[in-house]
Amino acid sequence: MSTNSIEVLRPTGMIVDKKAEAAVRDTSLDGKKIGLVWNHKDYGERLLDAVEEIFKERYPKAILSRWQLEECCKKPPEGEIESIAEKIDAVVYTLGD
Amino acid sequence: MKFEKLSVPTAVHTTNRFKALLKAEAKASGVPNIGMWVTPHPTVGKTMAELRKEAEDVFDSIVEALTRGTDSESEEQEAPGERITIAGDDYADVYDKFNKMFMKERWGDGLPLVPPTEEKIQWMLQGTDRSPDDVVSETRPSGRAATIKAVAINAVMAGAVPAYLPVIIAALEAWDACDWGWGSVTTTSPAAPLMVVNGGISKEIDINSKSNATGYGWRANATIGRALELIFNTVGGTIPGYTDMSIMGCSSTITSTVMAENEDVLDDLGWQKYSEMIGFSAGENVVSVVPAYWGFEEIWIKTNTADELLECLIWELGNRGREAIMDWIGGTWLILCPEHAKILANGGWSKERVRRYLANALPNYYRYPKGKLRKIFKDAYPRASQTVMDLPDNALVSGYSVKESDYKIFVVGGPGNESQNWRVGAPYENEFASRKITLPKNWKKVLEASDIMTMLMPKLPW
Repeated sequence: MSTNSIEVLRPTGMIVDKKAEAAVRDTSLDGKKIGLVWNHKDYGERLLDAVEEIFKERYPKAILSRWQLEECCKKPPEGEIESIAEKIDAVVYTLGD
Repeated sequence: MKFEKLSVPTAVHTTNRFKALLKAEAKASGVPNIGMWVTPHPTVGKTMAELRKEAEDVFDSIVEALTRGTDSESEEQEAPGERITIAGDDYADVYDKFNKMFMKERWGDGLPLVPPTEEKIQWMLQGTDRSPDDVVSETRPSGRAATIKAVAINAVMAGAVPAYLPVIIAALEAWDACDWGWGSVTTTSPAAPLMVVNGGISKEIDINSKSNATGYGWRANATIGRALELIFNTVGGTIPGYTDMSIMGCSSTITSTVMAENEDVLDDLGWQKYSEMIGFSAGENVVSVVPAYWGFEEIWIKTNTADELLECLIWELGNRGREAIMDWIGGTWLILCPEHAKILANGGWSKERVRRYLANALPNYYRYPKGKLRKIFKDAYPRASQTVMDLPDNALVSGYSVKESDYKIFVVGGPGNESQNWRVGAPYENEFASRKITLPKNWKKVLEASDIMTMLMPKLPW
């Protein structure tokens, strides 16, 4: 290293490869169980009310269900997401704020 | 994100101002092409008619996310551990260019950094016996891993010395264990770590526990906290207004708030250290961390009797509980100044007895009649709607937690009779996480290499 240059190291840590396959999709929503999930952020449930209305108008054969997570910001309790996922075919998730 | 990983086609909502954060979180979770539906910011405060219009505008994208998915975007590959050469006319020019380059990359906090050269990193790594490749924590929102080497790099950049590294590593482990730790680095609130160190290491590396302990003037307090914040920036990937959505932020996101308990005073009074109160052995080096909302309340009480002091404490803290009624009711952390602690001890009170007294008295002291709460609060404070606004009008509500463990007491500071009260909102956000600080085998040599400079009272410069 000369007096007019320095070599420094990139400070950004290590990439963790967690890449997952995207879920397989069906082109039709007819007869599908669609979970409308609110994560507890402010006004998210109201936005889901609007989404639910539109689903009922445009996709009357879809089977809608509403879910509310315990809290928005903390790590979800063990099994919370898994137990909802078992009961639905697709999910519309709102954050709000 | 987890739904998509569980093979459930997902359409996630975000507002346009939070889209970058959601994309970062999606990438970190391994589903970078998650289906999103994006509405204009904010969602809160809008009428149902406005929300219906916004939902209609994006409904096609919800359906598309559920039925077709999102096309893959090519991802930029990073080169971890990449070496960067910076040249200039002279040392000052090189230093200037280094800082500009790191700031441009958003690797830092805006203050000048110490260049993390290989030589300095190896010097820093003397502070641990762990392998440089060991992962201390997986960070958010980037999902990148903070390895021991990455922690050392950021500790160098912060201006730390090797003897601080064991505390920084333990603090990061504790941060990772906090329920809201990584959530708080991207939140809209002004949150930053509040860190308390117990044990002999405080004196060995000169963490200030006395006058101005939560303020400036001590290298250990400043750079241990700064290293943690730099890890959030560079490894975690927090960028203000992009992935760190704090509305106004706070200055404690530069150095955190780092202090040691004043164990000289605790020993004199026969009071337990905080680490002992939570089950660590006497003399163990322990760091305790919590994501704290910025700001404390000054408790300026001048009395010489324990009974009067406690009555005043309940009065001051109790009245300040009102605001919490309408938001999240969380923890109360009393940082007691030594003079107040001495008054209580002389009155026969132990630290634990004071803590239990406050925990039992405060929830009952200031109880606001629900019937007096304004009707507009139901929409203005949507979180309280479920816990407070639906109560009968004759109910009395309190801004203080009924959970005894939500109350903590630390003794910190120098002469004077002012204590501090720190609070945070959500009940789940208030749990300190604590970790034992593991020293390297050659600790004495590390202290020598660190050339710890104890800050004594200097000759006044005037």
